[in-house]
Order: sequence, then C-alpha cells, then structure tokens
Amino acid sequence: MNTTSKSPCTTTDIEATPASLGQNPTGVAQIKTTSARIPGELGLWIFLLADMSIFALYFWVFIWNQSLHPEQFLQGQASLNHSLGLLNTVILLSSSYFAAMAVHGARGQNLDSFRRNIQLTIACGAGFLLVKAIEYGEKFSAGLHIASNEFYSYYFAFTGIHMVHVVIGLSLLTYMLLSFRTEAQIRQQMANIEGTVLYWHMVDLLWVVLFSLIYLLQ
Amino acid sequence: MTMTNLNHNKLLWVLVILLSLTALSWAAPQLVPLSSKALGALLILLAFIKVRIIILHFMEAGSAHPPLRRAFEAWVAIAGGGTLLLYLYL
Repeated sequence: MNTTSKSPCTTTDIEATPASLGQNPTGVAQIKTTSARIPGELGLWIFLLADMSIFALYFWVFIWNQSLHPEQFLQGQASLNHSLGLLNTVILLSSSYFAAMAVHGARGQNLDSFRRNIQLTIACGAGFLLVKAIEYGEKFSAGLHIASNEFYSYYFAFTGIHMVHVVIGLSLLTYMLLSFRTEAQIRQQMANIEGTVLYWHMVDLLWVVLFSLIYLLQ
Repeated sequence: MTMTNLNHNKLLWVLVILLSLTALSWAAPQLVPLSSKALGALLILLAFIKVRIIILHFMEAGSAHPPLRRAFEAWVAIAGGGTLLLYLYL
C-alpha cells in the first residue's frame, strides 16, 4: 500500500483570446480557475472501469439468455426470495453511505467518525453476506444449484462473482480499521482510504444492477 | 452551517434518493400500469439512474477531473443503453 498522502490535483484553464484581451482595458488576461481532483489513485479508477466493463458484459449475457429461455428465467425469478434481494440492496446502499461518511471523517481528521463509519460499513457488508448465505441455503435445500438450469447457472455465477468482490472489499475495510488507528495514520493513508471506499462503492453499484436484472426484471 | 455538515446532509439526501428509487423499483409492478416490456425497461432505467448517482456523488466522480467523469458517464451510457437495447429488441 502507498504510504504517502495524495495532494489534490488542480487544473487551471486559462481562457484568454486576443479579442478578449483587446476588450479588456487593463490588458490583463482573464483567468478562470477550476479545481478538480482524483479521489484515490488514477490506476484504481482504471481498474474499476475495467471491472465494471466485465460486469456490463455479464448484464448483456444475462439479458441475451433471458431472451433465449424466457419461461425458464420467468420460473427461476419467481422462485427467488425477492424480500432478501431487496434487503441486501438496502444494506449495500446504506453501507455506501457509511463508507462515504468515513472518507469525510478521515478528511476532517475526525478519527472517531472515520472508525465508527468504517465499522458500520463492515457490519453492513457482513450482513449482506449473511443474507446471501441464507438465500443460497434456501436454494440448496430446495435442490437447486448452479447446474440446475440456465437461469440458476447465471444466478449463482453472477451473484457468486459479486460475493467474491464483497469479500475482497470487506477484507480491505477490515485491514484499514485494524491498521489506521491514529489521526496521523489516516492523514498519511488518505489515498488508500479513498481507494478502498471507491472499490466498495463499485461493489454497491454492481449489485444495484444485478438486483434489478436478476430479481425484478421479467 | 459548516461545510462538513453540508457534506453530511448531501450524502444523507443521496442515500434517501437511492432508497426511494429502490422502493419505486420494488413497487413499480403494482403502481405503474405498463406492459411487462415497458415495465422492464423502466426497471433497467431506474437501476442505471441509481448507478449514476452513486458514481457522481458517493464516488465523487462528479467533482473529479472532467476526463474521469466523462469515462464513467460513458460507461453508464454504454452499459445501461446496451442493456436496455438488448432487453427491448431481443
């Protein structure tokens, strides 16, 4: 992990043309300054975009196969526990809120706020896994598994791959909670904190689409 | 009101909007008298609106460098548009 803090990147756009300079009685170019930055690190954003693009292909494959096996997908979707899917969506959206609050806490050098919100994010992530385990348990006890039919192949494959992302995100959040215990540490590790939270937001947004496609769409 | 409080309020509003859109997606089949195909398109649209909100406000791409924001806006357009087109025309 990077041990140095990242300073905000600033861009300066100079908007000056000969015409505008000519109209300016003082002869001083008008300078418009806009401040923008990259939270985390650029390399991580590229990774996130690549990962999200792979998931976009999953979404398309799911829709494609739904059109090939409409009855099977309709029956499969009807057999899912929609309430648990909704509960997991609410849990992950809330976890993203807590994660964003943790970043604000870290930026404000508020160690208590940072740690409390990371703990809440981890609790939500663990809750998501628990609900998913209950849901998988229901399916397994009903004799349904990844090879049962086309719908369940995609259901288990896509939610399983997403679950791996949740586990990775939880591991990073837990590492952060255990390692960053002082204000100096969170100041030094700002880029890593932002990066971990960005990854968690991606896990959240991918689930938002998976929930709609797998549970709601008919 | 301090800048920190403003940021916290904004994040809370983002969460409220996301949860409201989720509730709308959940209740849409009972609330909106649409054909099954139109309802499906609405659900896909709502999902990608939520994704865009998360990217812009939670991930802060909205206030990041313009090329970064444009790259993720493009992802939303391509992934969402592609999903919608496949759903409608397959």
